[in-house]
Amino acid sequence: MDLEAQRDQLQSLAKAQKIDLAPVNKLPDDPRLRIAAIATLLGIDPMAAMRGDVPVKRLVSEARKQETADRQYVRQELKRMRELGIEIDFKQLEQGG
Amino acid sequence: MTQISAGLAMFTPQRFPELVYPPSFPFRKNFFVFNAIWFSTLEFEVFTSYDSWTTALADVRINGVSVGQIPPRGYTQTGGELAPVSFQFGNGMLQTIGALGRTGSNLCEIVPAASYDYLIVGNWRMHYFQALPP
Repeated sequence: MDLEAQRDQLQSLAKAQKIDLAPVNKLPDDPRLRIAAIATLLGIDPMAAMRGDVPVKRLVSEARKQETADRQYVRQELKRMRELGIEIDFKQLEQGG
Repeated sequence: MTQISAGLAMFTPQRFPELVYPPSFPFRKNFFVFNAIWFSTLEFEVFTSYDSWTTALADVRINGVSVGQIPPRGYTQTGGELAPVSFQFGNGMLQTIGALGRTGSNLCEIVPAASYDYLIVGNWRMHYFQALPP
């Protein structure tokens, strides 16, 4: 797929999801870099987005499934650590990664 | 006698890769170690915008201390896929020293060398030697 078309498609999708594209607009005008940036903001796989061989809608639905699984994993791990007597600040984890 | 085990710190598994292009897209991850001793290995999957050894390489830092530079993993090397890299380092820079090693929260950063370089970083893990209480 044409990189600029892929970038525009992702940009439209991000706008529809009301994602703030200000960080992307500050980047150099390199289509690959901008695709990777928008994909990161959307929480989808940037490598697949840059290759353009998977439809954007499928990337988004995969990402939402992954988010649900991640949330479940974090809940379980925090519970397990609390049982071991280790308290972790969830907000700090979210901010730091 | 203190027993030795293998410790692992990581974020939630199978997270999608993310762009690293500070300051808008920084890579700053907190990770937690428990009774870490001797040395550790940091391992992650990466794609680099540079594919030559002649360019300045991105830096990997633990708590602000450099532990190595990321070798080129660009289109020439990987054909547009993520590739694994790993770094070994002594645990002296990890927080915080205690009776059985180092226990605490630490910061891992990836910093590109040039303003036009970017990276895409996937799953990462920190393996370390761990002391178990006697």
